[in-house]
Amino acid sequence: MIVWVGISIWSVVVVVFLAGLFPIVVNLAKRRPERGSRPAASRPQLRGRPATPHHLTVVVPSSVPFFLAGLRLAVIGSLVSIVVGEMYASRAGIGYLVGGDWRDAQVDRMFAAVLCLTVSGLFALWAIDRAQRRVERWRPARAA
Amino acid sequence: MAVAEATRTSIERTGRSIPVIQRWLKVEDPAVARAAYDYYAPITSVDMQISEKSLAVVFEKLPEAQKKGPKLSDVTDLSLLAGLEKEGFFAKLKCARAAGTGRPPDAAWARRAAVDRRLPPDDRARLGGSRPARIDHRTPSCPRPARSSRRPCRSTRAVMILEHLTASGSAFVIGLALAIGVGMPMGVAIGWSARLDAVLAPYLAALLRRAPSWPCFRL
Repeated sequence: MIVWVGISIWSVVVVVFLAGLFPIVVNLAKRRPERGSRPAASRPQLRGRPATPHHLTVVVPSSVPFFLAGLRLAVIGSLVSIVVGEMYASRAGIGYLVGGDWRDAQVDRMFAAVLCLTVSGLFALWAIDRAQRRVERWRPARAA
Repeated sequence: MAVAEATRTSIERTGRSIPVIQRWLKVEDPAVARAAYDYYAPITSVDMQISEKSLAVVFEKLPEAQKKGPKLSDVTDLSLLAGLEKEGFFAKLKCARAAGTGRPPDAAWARRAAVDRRLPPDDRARLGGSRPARIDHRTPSCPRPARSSRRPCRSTRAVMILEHLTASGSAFVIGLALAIGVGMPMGVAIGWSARLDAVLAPYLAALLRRAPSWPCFRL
């Protein structure tokens, strides 16, 4: 990655991209219950109105929960990979800070950076959770 | 230039340098830090020049190289330093350092740069020394620097963490946005199209086997 992209923010971006891509793809690819269940005619068509595209009304909305599940895994993987990537292929960033402080034996500073990273991760997961609740308002409340 | 200015500052401001040495070397006793400072400060060159003597010391361990009698210019590129010297950068730096003392700039000046007011009185008495020499910018060869050239002191730890956090956040947002932009259509297409699934299923199966926890996250 360093040979391809060099030591810059873009090498970290590529690492984050790869870490985030596969959880999203895998989770969305596993969504298969609707395959082959495409209706012969949609409700607007039965009423004589022009048909709305099937992928907009069925495919994408039914994929959202799977997407959010994949996104949650992608965020976790990206946060881990961003630290590792910045330790080796960056001159800035929290991972760079953690690596530098670790080398300089500045453990207190290192943990300050780790704490910032932890808070950022918790915030990202909280934001995904909020989005998931908003999307899944139709779903009945789960039994406690 | 920044290294030269920092070297000069570290040499002149003893009271600031010793706490920094203590902090980075994790030395609690200021006298030990002061001893390290006293050893290295007089032999540290502000103009960053390398002497022939230091090169000779290195070549003493390399007899083969010593036979060829290499010169300093053969093993180092000092063109940048020569350019700065030509511009008068180091002359101004040395002049500012020696101004007001009437002593040659390179001769044992570290001894006269003594304990700052910042040290506690006990440590000051323990370390000894006098007040540090002030830089007098009013000498003819060293005009007072323009007010605009004074940089604001904002290098606090919080600002530094914030800058690094911003850099990481930018990479995170860009990378994740690209992953969503590419992964979402790709995943939907694979999940919906039997043909695409047949093409990419082996690769996904290989991924699933290597990372079985990925697809197990069910809502």
